Amino acid sequence: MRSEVERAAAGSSQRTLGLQLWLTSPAHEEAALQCRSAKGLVAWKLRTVVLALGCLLLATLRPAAAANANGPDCSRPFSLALHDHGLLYSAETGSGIDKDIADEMARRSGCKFFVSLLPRARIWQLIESGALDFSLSGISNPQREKFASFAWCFSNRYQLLLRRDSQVQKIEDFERQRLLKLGVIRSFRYSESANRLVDSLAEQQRLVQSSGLSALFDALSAGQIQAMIIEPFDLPTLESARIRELAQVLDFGDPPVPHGLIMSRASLSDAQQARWRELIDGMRRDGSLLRIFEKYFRPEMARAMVVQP
Amino acid sequence: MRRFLVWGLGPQAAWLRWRGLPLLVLVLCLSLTVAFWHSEQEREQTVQRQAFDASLRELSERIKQRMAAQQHLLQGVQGFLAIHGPFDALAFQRYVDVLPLGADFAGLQGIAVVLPQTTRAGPAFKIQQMEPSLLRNRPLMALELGQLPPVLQALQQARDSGHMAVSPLLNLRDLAFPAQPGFALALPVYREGRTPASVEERRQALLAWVLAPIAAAELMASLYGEQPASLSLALFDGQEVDEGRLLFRRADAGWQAGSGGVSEAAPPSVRQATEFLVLGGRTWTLQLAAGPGFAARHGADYAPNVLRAGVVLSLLLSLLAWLLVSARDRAQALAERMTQALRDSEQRWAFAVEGAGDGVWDWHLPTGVLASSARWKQLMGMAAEPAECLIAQVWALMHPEDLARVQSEAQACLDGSTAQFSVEYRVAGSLGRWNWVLARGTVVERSRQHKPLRMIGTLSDINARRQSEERVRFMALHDPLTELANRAHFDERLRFALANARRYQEPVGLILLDLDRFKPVNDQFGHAVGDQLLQTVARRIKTAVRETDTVGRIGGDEFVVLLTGSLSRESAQGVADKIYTQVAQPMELGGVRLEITCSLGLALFPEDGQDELSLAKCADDAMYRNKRAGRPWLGETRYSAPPGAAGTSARDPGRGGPGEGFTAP
Repeated sequence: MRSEVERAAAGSSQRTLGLQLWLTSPAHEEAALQCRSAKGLVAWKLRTVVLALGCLLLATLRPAAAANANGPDCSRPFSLALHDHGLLYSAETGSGIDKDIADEMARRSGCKFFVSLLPRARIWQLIESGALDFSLSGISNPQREKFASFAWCFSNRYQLLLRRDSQVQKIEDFERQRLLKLGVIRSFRYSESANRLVDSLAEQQRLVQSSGLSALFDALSAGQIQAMIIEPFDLPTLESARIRELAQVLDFGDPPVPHGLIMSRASLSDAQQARWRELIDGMRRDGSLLRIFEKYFRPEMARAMVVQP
Repeated sequence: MRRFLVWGLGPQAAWLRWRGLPLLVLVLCLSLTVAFWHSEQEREQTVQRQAFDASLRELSERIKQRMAAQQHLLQGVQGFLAIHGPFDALAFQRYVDVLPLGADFAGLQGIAVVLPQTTRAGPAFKIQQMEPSLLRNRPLMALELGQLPPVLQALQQARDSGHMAVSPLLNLRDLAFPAQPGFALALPVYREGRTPASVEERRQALLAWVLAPIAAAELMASLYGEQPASLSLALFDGQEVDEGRLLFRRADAGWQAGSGGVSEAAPPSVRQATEFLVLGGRTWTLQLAAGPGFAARHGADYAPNVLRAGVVLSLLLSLLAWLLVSARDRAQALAERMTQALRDSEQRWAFAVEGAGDGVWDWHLPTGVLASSARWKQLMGMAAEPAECLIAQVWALMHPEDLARVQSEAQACLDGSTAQFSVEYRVAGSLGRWNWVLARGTVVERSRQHKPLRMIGTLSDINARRQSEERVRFMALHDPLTELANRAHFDERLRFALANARRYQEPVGLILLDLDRFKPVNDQFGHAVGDQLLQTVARRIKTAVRETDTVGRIGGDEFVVLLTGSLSRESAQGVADKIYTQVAQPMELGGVRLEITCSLGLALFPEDGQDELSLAKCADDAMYRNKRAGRPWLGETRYSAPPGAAGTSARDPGRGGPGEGFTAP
């Protein structure tokens, strides 16, 4: 408990550290000193009033916000976290499906988003605690439904990427070979069969956890793991000649699993969640989602993924 | 074998019952124990696995948190530099000075600003300023970072990605710090503080880098929370577990103590895991292994205790089952032994009792039923069946003269007046004889009201004893040769008859008889013939008298006859005549034909004498008068003494008179 409190306090201090440093920098020291004087105080108030009026004017002039009277409440900025995962988001390129959806959400809602890049496990923790409002491309399960709600964007199937030298032709055989290890991203859940395989291997200590997808591909190449579970977003990696030569793909045979916007029940009211869900549905209806997916996938695959679950 | 027959079980069924049941209990209990132990082991394994997974997850989270904290620090510097325009060394120094660099940022060796430079030889990577400015940092200023591939890689990666980059493993000695494993964090600073969209634009917009060398061991030491107990961890740069890429290692205290505290690779553990941490575009491999104490810390000692306790309990239960089963058998065996002992005892007693010729009886008073042994029935003259009879049947078998006495004795014992019941009585035997028996008994069971309920006893055959006693008594009163009353007995009878005669005024007759010339016969033919002659004479005398009369032998050839009852002188003389006639009959003795006569003398009470003595003298005188005459005296008083002869003996002085014989006490 003590460590948790300390951790929270430290996190808070780290967040305020930048502002503290900015205020104590030489460039702003003078202004800060002026603010503290009586004369500066009058000027400060005057500036605040002008800024408030300006903001009010801007708000009334923004067509998107005016047109979206029934849209989400933008009275506060929202936090949204991305995770580095293939086509969903690549930290290397700074782009991805999730980032495009997040940008579209910001554009349509007119709300201010603080976007950060976090490990997936951390994202779920923050969603549960309410410290994070949104994330993307999440799938549901009964446990997650307790603290998060979802607005479905797309669905996809899970597959097993398996080293050819593991001498396994079926997923069931992989489970029986006790020396074979499966690489997974911490906190990830998958389709029903894939979850069953993961849970079974976890009991046998045959999982290798990772906080990023790239590490799993490297581990698969190096033979540290013999298989990993992949999604369509991992196709660019799959298309590499080395992986194709090294591994084969086995289908779990499960139906497509819906993915979507993750909303924290702790930080967003049910009404707000409904508005955001409506916003995502609007993106699907007007083809925005499809266009985003078509940037990364072939048109037919993009349509198959974005179809209403 | 007898047990099998008793229980009606075959050998296999008996084996199953006596050994199979405890064995079955043992097998069942052990099976349950093993099942429970196995279940408990699985539970413990699950608990340990969950604890281990939680430790791994927590540890990786802590490392990420610490790295995020370092990133936030550098992002502050990044923001400062981005908005400040041209690099201001003094402002940077003051900025870093106010940073709360302490324990929260342990491992951070300082914050440097690297400016991209272009020289004739190409791009150069020089540290523009390193804060806090310490003496030890000065050599760092002279370093060309381009010659340090790990640092150069981080700088280039950060520049091109726009994100913080983590360098590969670095020996901080290469950056003029004390030698230890570490790495560098690099964060790009772009013009106007915005990250351009493309790599090329980022390269063009680069203003500087924020570079922070970090000592891995110190960073790991500053992790929040408690260090995982009984766990060994190792952090490697890259995805290969290579000692040359080791960033940090902390071995389990228990293992370290055994290895002398040297941080070497932990021994292989049954529970170990690997996790890849992707941080700043770099992958670290975190290895976690459970030490010897991990299982014990998570309750792993319960399952062995379950097994031990289960085995002990199983053995105890099977032992208990065996005891229960065998207890019944042992009780049965004990009962059999006791029964056998009782049976043996009964047999011994029966043998003893039967051997002694006694019978046993058991009288149940409330029902009046009497159970008895075969010998008892034999003694009582009853048939062997039925086994039991009623007491009334027993009473009926007794001699009428004895019944009242027996019942009286029995009642006295039943009443408690006498402890033992012992009575002799006669029972009807074969051929109309009465047999003497001795019954002994005692009351063995009484009610609370002291009422007799059961009486047991024995029955002995005393017929022989009784006959012997009769014989002894007979021999004491009779002459052994002729079985006639001897002198004492005859004297007693005479006194009794005279007393009775005086009381009831009745006559009594006394006849004395002496054989004539007996001595020559005796001398001539021997004592045996003489004895036979005497016996023959005795029989003849007895046949000549009445049943109520008494015949006695009071000398060698002298006999007396006491006549009682209805009597007159004539009838008495008739008797004397009859005796004389009978005796005088010829006899064949030992092949010798003999004829012998006798001399008789008769005296009657009260005419001839008032007492035994006078009567005897009178009869004696009469007999000798006849003997001297040499023939029987004929006439009314032919056997009587002559008047006045009473009181004077005519006997030969050389012979003992009868008065001496049967009148003397």
